[in-house]
Amino acid sequence: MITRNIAGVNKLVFESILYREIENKGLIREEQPDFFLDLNLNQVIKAITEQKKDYHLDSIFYTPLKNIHNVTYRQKVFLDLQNERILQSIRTFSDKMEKMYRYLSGIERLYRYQKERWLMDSAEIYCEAVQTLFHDLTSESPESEAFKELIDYVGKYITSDEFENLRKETSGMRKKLDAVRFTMIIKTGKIVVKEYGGEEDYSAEIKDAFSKFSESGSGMKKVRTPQFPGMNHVEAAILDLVARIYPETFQDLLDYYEKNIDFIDPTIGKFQKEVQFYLTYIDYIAKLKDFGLQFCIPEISEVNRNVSCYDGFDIGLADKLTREGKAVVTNDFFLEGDQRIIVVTGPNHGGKTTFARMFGQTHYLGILGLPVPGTRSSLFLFDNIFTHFERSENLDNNRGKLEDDLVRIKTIMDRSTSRSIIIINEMLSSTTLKDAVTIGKKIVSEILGIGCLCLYVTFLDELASLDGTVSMVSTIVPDNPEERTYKIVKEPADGLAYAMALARKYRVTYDEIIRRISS
Amino acid sequence: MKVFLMYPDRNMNPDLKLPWNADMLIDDLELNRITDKMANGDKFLRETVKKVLINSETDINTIYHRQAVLKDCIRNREDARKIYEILVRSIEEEKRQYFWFSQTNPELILHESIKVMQIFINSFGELRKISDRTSSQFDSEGFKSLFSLIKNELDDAYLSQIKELLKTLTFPKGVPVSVELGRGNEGVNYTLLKIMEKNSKFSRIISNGRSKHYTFTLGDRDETGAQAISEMRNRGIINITNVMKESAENVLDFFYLLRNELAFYIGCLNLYDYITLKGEPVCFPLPMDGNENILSFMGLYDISLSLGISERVVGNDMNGDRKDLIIITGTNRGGKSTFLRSIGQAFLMFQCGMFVPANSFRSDLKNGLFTHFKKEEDRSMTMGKLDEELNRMSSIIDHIKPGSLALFNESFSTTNTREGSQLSRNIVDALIEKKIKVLFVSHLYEFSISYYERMRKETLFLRAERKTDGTHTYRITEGNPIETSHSEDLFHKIFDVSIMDGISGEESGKPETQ
Repeated sequence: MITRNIAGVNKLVFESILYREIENKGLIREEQPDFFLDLNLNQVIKAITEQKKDYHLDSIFYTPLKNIHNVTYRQKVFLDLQNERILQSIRTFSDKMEKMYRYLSGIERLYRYQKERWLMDSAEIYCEAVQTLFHDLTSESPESEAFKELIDYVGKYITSDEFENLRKETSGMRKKLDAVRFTMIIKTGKIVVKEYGGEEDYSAEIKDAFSKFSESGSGMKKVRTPQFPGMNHVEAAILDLVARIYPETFQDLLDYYEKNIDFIDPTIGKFQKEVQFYLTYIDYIAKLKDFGLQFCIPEISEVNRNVSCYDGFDIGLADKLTREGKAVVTNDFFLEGDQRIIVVTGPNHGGKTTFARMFGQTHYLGILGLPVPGTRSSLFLFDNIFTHFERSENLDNNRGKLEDDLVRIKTIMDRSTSRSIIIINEMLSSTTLKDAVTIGKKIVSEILGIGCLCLYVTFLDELASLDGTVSMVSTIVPDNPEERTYKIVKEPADGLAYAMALARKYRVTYDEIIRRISS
Repeated sequence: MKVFLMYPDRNMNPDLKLPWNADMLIDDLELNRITDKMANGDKFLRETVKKVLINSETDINTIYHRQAVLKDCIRNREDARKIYEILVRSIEEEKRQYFWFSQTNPELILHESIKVMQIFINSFGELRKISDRTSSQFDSEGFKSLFSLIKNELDDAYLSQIKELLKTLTFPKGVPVSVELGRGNEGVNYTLLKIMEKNSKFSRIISNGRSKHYTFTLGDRDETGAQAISEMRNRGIINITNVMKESAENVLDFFYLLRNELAFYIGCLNLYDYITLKGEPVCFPLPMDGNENILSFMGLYDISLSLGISERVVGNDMNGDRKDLIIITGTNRGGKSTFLRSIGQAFLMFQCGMFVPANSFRSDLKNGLFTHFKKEEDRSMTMGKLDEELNRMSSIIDHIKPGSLALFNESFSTTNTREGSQLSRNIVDALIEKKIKVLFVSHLYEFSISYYERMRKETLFLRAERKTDGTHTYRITEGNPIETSHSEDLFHKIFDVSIMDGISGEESGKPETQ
């Protein structure tokens, strides 16, 4: 919402569905943040924005919000959009506007009477779209500031003279064109065109005679005449002949075009483009929700560092697994009291990296004002995320791997503030265990000193018991160390007799069978 | 146009799929011999009877309906086979001549559809002749409705009207259409108009009177223009093209349907003629209403075994009424698997409306038939044997419903006796609690004796009979579990020494206890 001077009075006017206040001096990032690659956010955001490439939504997803009011502004829009009817009305509006833009594109190159008609068709959809939007939204009474102001704006717009005239002229023109009906006798190489004279429908007679054979409703795939969009020169020539049969109607059409060539209101146009940010994300997560995964709107705080997320998951991995029809394992994280660092240990290939990504992704998406994976979540309004992920040897670099590790972590710690998030995924693997423990402890204590939030995946169990840390472990199936659960927990495992364990694995114990067979 | 040979109220689904466990049923119950005999060398017949046999019906009226149609076919086997031949022949003729399914050009489709209609209208004529001559000899509802459709719906007057109309559907003077304007002022609502008689009053009024008319003439060598005109003509005839295509497809569907449905009975006839000629008994089973776990029979034999040998095979009697769990124990190679298989086969034949290989057979209808047989060889190298068995069990659980029938043959014996018995007990307990009837061939003594000790009156115990001299009779009779499978019999037979001579095994040395 922006304060505007209208007729000498300062008024709040709907401006944007994305920002309540000017954010970060209006700076929009065109480049992906550094940590995108490590957190697999590059793939996630690509998958999200790819659905609506034409809208160039990437930069909005690259720009985390700094202003808590803007975060809640967006969250409240999402809350409103949880109302299926509100969501549907926005989708309907957006689809109609897209259709309208399609109609208008390339209009200048068309034949006479065709060009003018496409403009009229576009205006017809536009009027309908805007009116329906207003009607649908008012009847659902959304609660977000953004939608309330939008309703107010659209309400004023559709009662304006500008809109009223457009609507009336469009529907009048449509009626005249609908009244046109003509007859053609199509021969080879020649078409006779005249006014329709009331001849009978022959198809109906044939249909009736053959009804005994054709009535079964077999759902036959009907033959269709291929409908090529646009008009060929024969059709254009026929249209010119029709214009001679109906001269007044077609003169009116030319006049209509001159008058209404620019009919789209800029604010309405901008709204439709910006709202794609919401629609595209909702579409993306809907596919995951179909697989039983849940999303929630997190509590975002500028103060509380006891962050948490229950039943969260790596959104990129979940997208991949569900496409392959595989199950997605969910995990929780939470920090309590003075805990600032989650130390993740345990067997390899047990989901530790995934867990680290989940932690980072959840925060990042939350700060964009988006719903995040999980059933409930509290997050911290960070100022930056820094990631330190294991790298394959960099040949251009003369420094050793340990040195590289240390230089990178030093740079990160220098740039971090108490509002930052640091995510470390395995480092110090190139030195002796003893040295690694010593250095690791030092780094943990440095990070605690900065006061930022941190998730640290490590093979060093010793780091998991330090003050200010919480220890989490990736787990395996006890009977089968090769099999991973991808659960990151603190619990010990229990053992089972071999056959009964198998019965459980295949869900054919007494209890499972009773449950699985529906009565 | 519907065919009611398979259902009292509907067509058979032409795309009937085999159920998920079809391969298991075919292997476990040795169904291939049965379907081969029914097919008598005809591939199409084999596919059809296989589908019908394996897809059990659960509606008692459908069973009665099919039994009646089958009895008609047995009584009038010559006419039934003749009708089938007409169907096969006209379908072949259509297939040989036309490829109209692949066409996309409406003018060509219209042309081909008209020709297809002409072929089948002739075949209808042939069916009419048979119907006029023999329809009074058929009693079943299925055949009666077929003959009445042929007689009443497709009378001579109608067929000749259709023949006349088919001739008018070419347009030598151009296609007359009316058109309106749609989006972008493109022509829409193409409506084919009735051609006026040349000198009718109406047509003169139109051409002389109020209407101005203009003519568009195509330029020389304007090929895209010619294409455009052809598209417009197609839009004019598209509706009648679809009417004609749909008519042709429906008539074709009708012939296909009738052939599919009759094919099943022709297959039954083939099997019936063979097995009765051999002198084996068959009977039409008695379907019981309700859900009281009725299952009794006399002289039930393994028909696929009989089809493979020249001798007649041993039949068994059983009174299993009001039993939900039937446990079969006893000597190895004593006919337990054959017995279990004969029950499985009989159920499939019974529930598709066929006769069954028995002197008498009655049962209520089951929601589904599931087999879990011990596999002779390990099929998949990726899993352990018990893994494979439990995995197979799990897929059964995915599909089984209350009211189903489950046949187990030496299941869960790939682990030790204690674990195997425990697994079997848990599974059987859950299944019978879910109102699933279970027949279980098992040598797991701990498993069978535990049900014996529970004294449930709904459990029936059967045992493979063995004469006192140790030879098998292959008869299964009532009898409680005993703690050995007579493995020593087999050992003795094969090695020609007593097992006691070679091995002083504790287990095999145990005396029979009851």
